[in-house]
Amino acid sequence: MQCSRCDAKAVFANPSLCEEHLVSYVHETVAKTIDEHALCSKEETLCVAASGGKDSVALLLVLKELGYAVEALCVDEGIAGYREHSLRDLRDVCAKHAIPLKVVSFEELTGKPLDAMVEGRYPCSVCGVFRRYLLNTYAHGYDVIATGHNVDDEAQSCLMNLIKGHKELLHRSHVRTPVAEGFVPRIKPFIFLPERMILAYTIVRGLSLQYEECPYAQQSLRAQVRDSLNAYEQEHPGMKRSLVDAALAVAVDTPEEVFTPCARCGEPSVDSVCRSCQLRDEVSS
Amino acid sequence: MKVFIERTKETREVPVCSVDELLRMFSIILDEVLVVRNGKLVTEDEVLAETDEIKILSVISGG
Repeated sequence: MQCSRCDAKAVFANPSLCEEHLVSYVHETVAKTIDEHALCSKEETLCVAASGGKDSVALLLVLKELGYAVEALCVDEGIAGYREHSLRDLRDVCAKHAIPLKVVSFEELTGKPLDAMVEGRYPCSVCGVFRRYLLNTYAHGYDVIATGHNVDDEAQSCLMNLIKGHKELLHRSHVRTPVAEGFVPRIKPFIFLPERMILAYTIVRGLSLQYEECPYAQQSLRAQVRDSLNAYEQEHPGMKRSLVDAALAVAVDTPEEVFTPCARCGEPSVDSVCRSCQLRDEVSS
Repeated sequence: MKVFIERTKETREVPVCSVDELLRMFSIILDEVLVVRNGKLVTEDEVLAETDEIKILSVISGG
């Protein structure tokens, strides 16, 4: 298979790209996404939510090479045998590319790692609440939080919200979240890139990242939705991107949730006490 | 030829075939993997050789 942009052999199909043009395609797509959706400017410092996995590491490098000022913020959930490996990779990448890195943890927030909080609970729900809380809390002072969400992630989230009947959450499909009191705006520069292409990018760039799947992921609805979407995509190429485009269009017309400061911590909350504070009470009892 | 499947950490011996045929042999969906031959990415139409070192890398990671 030949590269669609030159005579070299393609290493990736759909679109067919050689190594050089795979890299430039990713950079161009991110630059175009940032430009068309006014995600951020070169005068701002971007806080990149980084796990050490392929998406966040690729995002750090792409944004830096496009000329953006980036700093990495990692949330260590406290999942034994998992997070320490990707955190090691993240530290290596940040050191090599002179990217400031801050690591915050569930244990600092709650007194316990995630592993000690999941009994009798759905792990992803606990993780999601504290992760979002810590990211927003520690990103105050930055202009935006950039996350590595890709087409696959976004398509899965949209379908999960529909399956669970959480239509009010459909408003969360944004390339850049609207301005809201207490929230650091979030941007998704990778939202139009397939997950598979991002992995290919890291391989072509010579990044040796540990493959790890969260041990709690197998229990998740997301894993089931992911597998189904991948099967549909095989039969109906382009379906995931269509789903994301539709989700973004619907989000515009979906009412935003109304937030007020949490009575305990002051972070945005839909209830008088935010879910993070409520959950901290539950896990410490 | 020897094939290493990252997600299950197993190495299997298979007859020479194309990447596409290899994935169908293991009932693997293309969107879930990338195939590396002798350290380089290959597309699904590529025909592999007996002496190739093949890795089927999992796209799925994280939570």
